[in-house]
Amino acid sequence: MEAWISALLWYWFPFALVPLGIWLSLARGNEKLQKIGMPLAVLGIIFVMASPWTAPESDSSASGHLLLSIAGPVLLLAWGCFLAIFGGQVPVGRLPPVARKGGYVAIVIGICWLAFMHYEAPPIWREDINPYWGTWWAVFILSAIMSSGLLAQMAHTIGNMRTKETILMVGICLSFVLLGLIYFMLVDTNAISAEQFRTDIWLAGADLFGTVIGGLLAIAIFAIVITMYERNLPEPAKTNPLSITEKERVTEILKDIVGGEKDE
Amino acid sequence: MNEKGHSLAQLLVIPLLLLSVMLIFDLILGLGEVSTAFKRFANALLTSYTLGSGAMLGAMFFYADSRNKPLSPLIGMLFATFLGAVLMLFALSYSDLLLEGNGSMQAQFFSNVVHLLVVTSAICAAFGLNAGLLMSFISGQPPRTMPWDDEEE
Repeated sequence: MEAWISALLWYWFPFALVPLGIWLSLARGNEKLQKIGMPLAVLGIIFVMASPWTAPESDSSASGHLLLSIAGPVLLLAWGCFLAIFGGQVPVGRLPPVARKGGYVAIVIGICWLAFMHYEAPPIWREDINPYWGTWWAVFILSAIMSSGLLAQMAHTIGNMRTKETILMVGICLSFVLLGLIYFMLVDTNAISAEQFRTDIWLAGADLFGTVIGGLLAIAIFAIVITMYERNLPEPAKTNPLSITEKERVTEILKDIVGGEKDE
Repeated sequence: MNEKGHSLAQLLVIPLLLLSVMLIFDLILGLGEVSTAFKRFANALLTSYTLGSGAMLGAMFFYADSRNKPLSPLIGMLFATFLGAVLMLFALSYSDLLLEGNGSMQAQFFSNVVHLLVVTSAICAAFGLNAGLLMSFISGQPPRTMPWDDEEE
């Protein structure tokens, strides 16, 4: 099989299944389509992750290899968050209190796992460091700093009496800044030099800005198109006033509800 | 704007400030080869906009379902997506304006899409982690008591 055909079949086709599956899962009015949507998206992700074996000649398969390499720590982080949230004071689905501590331990292990990958064992693709690893890690660190700052700000301004949570989020933000960024920016690791990491951070800034601005622009245009359409809609036609029979019927219903005489 | 009078723009001040400080710090410490930074920015912007508009076009079908299936917003969004695609193809085919070590326009386009997948997954992982942490901090607090007495039955 030619390289481009195998890439098309085993990478791009499953890749396209992911947004298609999500779209189908949101479709209303057809339960069958809704039900197959999410499995289709998951299947697509699995096939993309398997692309280093199914389409090894394609350069794009490096991204599948990266997703597979980070799946472990990222799933651990997600599981840790789940335990930490539901081990607390939640009204439904509460787990035993020990789950909360276990969740934080899982989060710390997940972060340490990623840091270890940066420090010692980055994903290896074609006998070299995966070309997307530097981008992923740098964008992750920058996004973690920005999102923790944003959430701390939100907890402070939107939340009511959330000072403690704000301080904890500021602590998380500073931890990422100090440990993740500044430490890695200054110290050469066994896998990557500090200068290379600084370069990755700079390029990640460009990626992050571009992606976020482009995405927000698309959302803004979506909102503008809808607003323009709604503004151009004609005023709804005025309805005739109620007839005497209708008024009597309304009065009857109101009496039933407000009066409560017929309640059993 | 929420009831305390803070707008979205004010909420974005801290993250943007943090990003700026980190990048300035990065610049002071010294960088390697970053001549492709503008190309990375432009490619990320155009790809994110075009694919984002495509996704919004999909969302527009749901909107149309709730509004007696009007055609004009669908056409409007289709035009916005088409515009993004044309801009991207033009920029990619114009000399080596946006080519980053890829031999052809098609290769650069596919590389951009893969890059967007990588960047988006990193953003989602980081944001998800912090949102989860904030939720866990909130759920970790003892339940609040109401400032008024319970209603007598």
